[in-house]
Amino acid sequence: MADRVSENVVFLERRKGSESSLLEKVAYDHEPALRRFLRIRLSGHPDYEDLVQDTFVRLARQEDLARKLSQGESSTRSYLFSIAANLVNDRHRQLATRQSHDEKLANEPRSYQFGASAEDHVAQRQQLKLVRKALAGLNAESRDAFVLSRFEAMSYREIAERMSISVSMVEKHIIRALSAIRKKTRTSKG
Amino acid sequence: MKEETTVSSGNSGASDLTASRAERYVARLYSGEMSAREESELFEWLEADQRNRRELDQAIALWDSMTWMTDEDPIVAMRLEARSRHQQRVSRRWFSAAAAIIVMVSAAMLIINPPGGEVAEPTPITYETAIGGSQVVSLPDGSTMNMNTASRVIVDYTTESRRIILDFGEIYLDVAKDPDRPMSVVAGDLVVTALGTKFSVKRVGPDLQVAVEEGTVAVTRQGSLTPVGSVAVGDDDILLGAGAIAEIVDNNEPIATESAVAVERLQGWRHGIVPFHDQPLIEVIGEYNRYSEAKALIEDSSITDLRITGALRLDNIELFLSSLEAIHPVRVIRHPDRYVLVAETNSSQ
Repeated sequence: MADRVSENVVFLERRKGSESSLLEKVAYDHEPALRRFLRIRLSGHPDYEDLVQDTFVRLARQEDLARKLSQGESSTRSYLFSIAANLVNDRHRQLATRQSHDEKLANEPRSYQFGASAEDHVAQRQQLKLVRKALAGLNAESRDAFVLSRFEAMSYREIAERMSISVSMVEKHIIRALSAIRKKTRTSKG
Repeated sequence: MKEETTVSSGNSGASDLTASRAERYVARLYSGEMSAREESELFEWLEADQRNRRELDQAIALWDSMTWMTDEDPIVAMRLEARSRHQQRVSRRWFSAAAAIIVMVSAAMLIINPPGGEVAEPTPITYETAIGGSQVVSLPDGSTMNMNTASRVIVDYTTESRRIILDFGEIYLDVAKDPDRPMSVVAGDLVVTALGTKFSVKRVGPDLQVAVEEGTVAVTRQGSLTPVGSVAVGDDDILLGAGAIAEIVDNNEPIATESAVAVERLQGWRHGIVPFHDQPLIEVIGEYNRYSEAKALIEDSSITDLRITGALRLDNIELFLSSLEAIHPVRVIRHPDRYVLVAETNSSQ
């Protein structure tokens, strides 16, 4: 699969302007997963269909698309999902702002605002520290599996292959890491 | 998304289970592993209990909230580590060469953000030498640091790393081997990392020079590891072996050369005598000025390129200038706070 995408990209590099075929391919490969992703993120709200479209529209508008998608199958998925996640967050923010308007609390989106103010920055550093600590406290296998999944955007299969373990083992490691991070970040809040 | 992230400590067993389940869904969702059947199972689960929705939302929020961290140093270090530990099968041979770099790079990254802060670590110590001064410092790990003139360093040792921040000046390090605690010299934007070796780092203004006498060091740019694509890793790093010199002038791309003789020359200051071989006067003067409060200035472009060869004592500019006058057509005008060098023909007019 990964080979197909990179072939495609190489091909595109040679023939600029034909990015549409790349988009078609991305849509073909990832639409079902994206649809599922948005459906769950929106708790089945019918708006998810619009967001699927919006995600592809945004993707198509990206500059240098071929390069961005040249890293292979899983990072394409992760890229697509991050666009979708942003759209979901925008939507939540809009809803929140609309509500705030009613409450005469305009201009103050409530959540999903990262890195906007100095306070956020401090909170970010704090969060990073906690995540790092949580990961440092894990055994290397769990940490690696999680890092490869979350930050390297590798699929379970890729990770399993690299680590010479089963796919279900990969999942166990990732869940273990997530739990550790949750515990670390939540206890510090309370 | 709800902001109330209160955990009921009472039935933590059950809520833990719910949270774990939510985490499993989230991990599968984002990894693209989730099947259609699982999706409907998930929706059923969400319908079953309000709390499930909240757990899922929180797990999603947690996952999303980590996106920005991807290129942060501590995370990059972990990514490099994970990648180097679990390499792609196909390109093993290529990787074994790269692994050395990766390990060192990740070590460097870790040092920049030393983990923890909870353990009582020794406080960093600052060492400084005056113009013309020098100092030999025995470091707690058995390493030795020679400091040259007008230098300032902060020695920051923790249980996990050995870090020396070079504010300015020049140091020579004879590093005691400790594979678990790499030694790194941080000079502005650049990090020089070694496990056990002899090398010097010189930082004057925006320029940096690294000379390796023994072993291998890695020079990396802080935070430049963003594209951790398997091939991109090495792009911004220089791996220097014995006899290698890297020079970074004005933040430009590093230039690496290999010459054991030149390394010896560059590190000659440790013995008080520096050999020069056919070097322009302006360079030699520049070296002397590092050791002298009273600076020498060349006011005549016709002599800047005079070739100088010899073993010179950099701590004695007066001696150098008088011998310069004796053997070259140079006249030195002595002011209380500076020396002005002009061509002899000019002065005789």
